[in-house]
Amino acid sequence: MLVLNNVQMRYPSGTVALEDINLKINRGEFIFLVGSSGAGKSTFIKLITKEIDPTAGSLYKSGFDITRMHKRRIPYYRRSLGIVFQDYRLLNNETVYENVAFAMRIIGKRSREIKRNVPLLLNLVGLSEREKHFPMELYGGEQQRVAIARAVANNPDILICDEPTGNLDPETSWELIDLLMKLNRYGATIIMATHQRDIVDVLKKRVIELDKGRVVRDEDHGGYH
Amino acid sequence: MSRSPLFTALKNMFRNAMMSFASILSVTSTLVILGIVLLLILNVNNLTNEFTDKFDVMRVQVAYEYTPEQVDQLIAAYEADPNVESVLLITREEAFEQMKEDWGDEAELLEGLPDNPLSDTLEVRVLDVSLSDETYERLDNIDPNDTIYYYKTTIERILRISNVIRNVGIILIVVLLFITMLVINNTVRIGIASRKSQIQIMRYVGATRGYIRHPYLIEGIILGILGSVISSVLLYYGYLQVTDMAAANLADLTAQPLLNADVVILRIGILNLIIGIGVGLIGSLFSVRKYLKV
Repeated sequence: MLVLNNVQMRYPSGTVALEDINLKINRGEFIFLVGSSGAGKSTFIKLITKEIDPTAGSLYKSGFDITRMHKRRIPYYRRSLGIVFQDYRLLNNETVYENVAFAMRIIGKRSREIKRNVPLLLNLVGLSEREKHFPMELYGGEQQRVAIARAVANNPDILICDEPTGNLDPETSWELIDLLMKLNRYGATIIMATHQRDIVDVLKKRVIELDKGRVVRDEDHGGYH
Repeated sequence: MSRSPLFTALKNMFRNAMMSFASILSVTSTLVILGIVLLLILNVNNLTNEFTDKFDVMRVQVAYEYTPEQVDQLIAAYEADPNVESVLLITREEAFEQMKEDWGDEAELLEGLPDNPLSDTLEVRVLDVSLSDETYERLDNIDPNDTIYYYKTTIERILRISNVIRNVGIILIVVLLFITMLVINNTVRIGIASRKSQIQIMRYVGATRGYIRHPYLIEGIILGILGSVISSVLLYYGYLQVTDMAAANLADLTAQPLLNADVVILRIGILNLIIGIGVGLIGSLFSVRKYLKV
């Protein structure tokens, strides 16, 4: 599904953010991306979402080298990804329903399909009762669930979560992890960057640890360490 | 988010009502100033034409002793000049009749004259008043016995003043156009900056550039249209006041001192509309570009 070959990312300032990254991520995997701040997790995610291009190496998604992709193709590539951020990034002046619907609308889904699917998605994330509310009227955990509903609205190949529980209390974090596990069981490939030791230790999923821009550990059923 | 880009544009405008109001206000005020400068130039041009029209005739006093054949030859010679539009002969008899008419009751005095004291005159209408000097030189050489009169200094003065006003006006218009564009660019940019995160989210979800850009371009166009319509209405009513005032105070100078409000404001209105749409579009285009680089 996703293959990184000798990927290197060096910023113009000379800082090496990633070095010599060789990884293969398969369909249906649940992967934790761990490491201290500045280890390169954010750069790793930015490379996958094609916000930046590596200074060396290549990145294949379903057989296509996305580092050589034309700028015009980027929006279409991003539609195959679902992205969830630590700070939710919702449209604050739109309702919960609209936040999910607009993701479907921009890729040209018919309104009948949108009307049918948005309630299903909100039901999936447990927010059916909240569809007419605005994000500011929701708790952090609920806002993040809206973000997840939006991220999976267009059936992405990969769900990328950048510290999704970073702003949530432990109990809410676990509820969210429960939701992600459910999506994973439905077949979603999930890459989740996190600092939360207990979650990683309990789930025993594949763990990729970065340190100073290098992969120092890639364990199939690892813990946080 | 909305279904159509127009809907989104309108929604954004209402959501950022203060910003939209500020943009419309700035477009309106610059277009009003632009309109005033244009009105000034157009009216000065009009007055110049009207005055110079009155001065585009040179009067040639033909030598008294010339026979009609000689006068015909002279007319032909004048008509051959490249800057002469037409030559009208006023015979000494016609001139004498006119004189009698003008003198009215006192015309009896003229009856006592032994002979018609007047000579034939030619009214030579020139094509380009600004070339009067050269034309005068040429015409004066045709026949040494006639005398040519024309309003040299008056024409020169009017032309000089109107040229200065026109040139200054054109420079002002160029500067104002540039300022209007900067203003729209800036206001749309501020509006977009406040929606930066919205644009960013759209990019992450996979919206194409066009999908993101269209509502903003439409918004710029709508702001431009509103600004131009309001400025045209203001100019219309303002100009009506000025024409009324001019008609009351300058009526004895010329019948219609200023250009007709309906005609001139319609033209300026169309021009304002084009400028409004143009600068609105260009302004928003530039400002969107900056935020589409996610």
